[in-house]
Amino acid sequence: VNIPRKEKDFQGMLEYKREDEQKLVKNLILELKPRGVAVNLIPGLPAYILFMCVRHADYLNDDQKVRSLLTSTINSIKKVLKKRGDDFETVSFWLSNTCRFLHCLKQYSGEEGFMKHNTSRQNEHCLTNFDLAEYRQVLSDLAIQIYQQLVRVLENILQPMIVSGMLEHETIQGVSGVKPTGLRKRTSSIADEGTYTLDSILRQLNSFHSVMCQHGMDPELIKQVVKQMFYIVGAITLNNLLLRKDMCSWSKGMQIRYNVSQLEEWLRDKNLMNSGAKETLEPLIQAAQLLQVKKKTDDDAEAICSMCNALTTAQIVKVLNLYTPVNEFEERVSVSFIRTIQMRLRDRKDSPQLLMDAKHIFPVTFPFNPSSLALETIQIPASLGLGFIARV
Amino acid sequence: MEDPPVREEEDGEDDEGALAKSPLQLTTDDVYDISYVVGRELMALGSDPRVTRLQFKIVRVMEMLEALVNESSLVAEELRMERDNLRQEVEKLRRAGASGGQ
Repeated sequence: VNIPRKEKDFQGMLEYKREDEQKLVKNLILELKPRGVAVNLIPGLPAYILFMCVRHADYLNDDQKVRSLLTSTINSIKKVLKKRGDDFETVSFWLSNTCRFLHCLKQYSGEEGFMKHNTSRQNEHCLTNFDLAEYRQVLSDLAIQIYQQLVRVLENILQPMIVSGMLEHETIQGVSGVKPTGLRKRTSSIADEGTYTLDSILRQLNSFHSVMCQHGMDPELIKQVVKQMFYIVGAITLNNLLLRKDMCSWSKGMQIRYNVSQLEEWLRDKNLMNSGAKETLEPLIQAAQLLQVKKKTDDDAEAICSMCNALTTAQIVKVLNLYTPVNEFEERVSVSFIRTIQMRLRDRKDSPQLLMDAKHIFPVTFPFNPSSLALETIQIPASLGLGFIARV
Repeated sequence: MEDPPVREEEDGEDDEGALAKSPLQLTTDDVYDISYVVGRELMALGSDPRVTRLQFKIVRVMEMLEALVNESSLVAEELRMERDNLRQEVEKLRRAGASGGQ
């Protein structure tokens, strides 16, 4: 007969022998796969485990051990990102976990400002001996660095899709004014198979978004990533519009507006309408509108000047100059019309800038995001290979 | 708090594919997808210690499933290669026998 044993009450700490520290960071950081049963079921698990190790070292009042573990942690994360820093999953994983670790250090710092949402049990888990505010600063800098790397990686993936998917690929038939000759049709269908479409972009956004969700990334951080992705899409698209004559026509305006509406639909679908992502597309939206409005009378000019408040004078004038009429029934934009616009915009204090800086990165923030997870209930899944650390 | 909102419609989509599969066709990616969705649903139940205990038992079960999926595909692959090798061998011997008999 099995006598049911009462489960031991744990304090939510993890103990390891000092000489096992390298093995610990090797299994928990250096060689941990960003996709697996344990980390998928409990997003942020590596960060919680690390923090629980810090707690025990703090409990032992062993400043050497605390310092050594935190240093190894930071160095190991850097090492992983150096080795596999071009892999979106890896970078997203360590961005999420670095943030979670930072949130833990705050939530359990013992500083009242960070304890507002804690349960009383969580409050008992605060660090008692060491003030790690300086390490939090280092970790926060590390998180910023990882974020910038994440943006670089996703930019490299998105970049080749944008012009093709947003501008070149045509889904609206019969408005381009170019007669689809037999030859032309064949080439475009061949191109279709090999090139990117708007759907490729939407699929890519889906995949980025689902990876970040699976990693338990802070919702506020996901919003910032999405805003940054939309900015990249908008800036690269607009820049190409401003550099290519064949992109400035009424029908391209139509195509762009349709594509933008699909991107907005994606935001709505993912509940990201308040991320500021949509607003980054405003210059592109206005450029597309500019391609579609009438460009003849003084009234038209006035309407354009009040509509295009997110475009610089240089950009407005450039679009009007590049504008190609759809057919013989539409005229070119007259030189005098463009002059009228320039005169009206003279009082505007704007930059002489033509192209957008497609490499611009909005400064990232990591708002404190405490967790309701109870450290005393955390166990160490066998697949992590951390059998040498013990719950305390 | 960091508990992710559980969105009903998506729940269906995310793991339906994997859970509707034949067990013999599961990949480890399916196992990870199921883990994520189940994890989210457990988290939505809150941080009751009983829920957490269940959560770690499920982690263990999913680890076992992962190992089985991994292992069985490896074993099957090995057997397939072995079988193909033997077939080739038989073919070769047959051809050698046929030409030797002439």
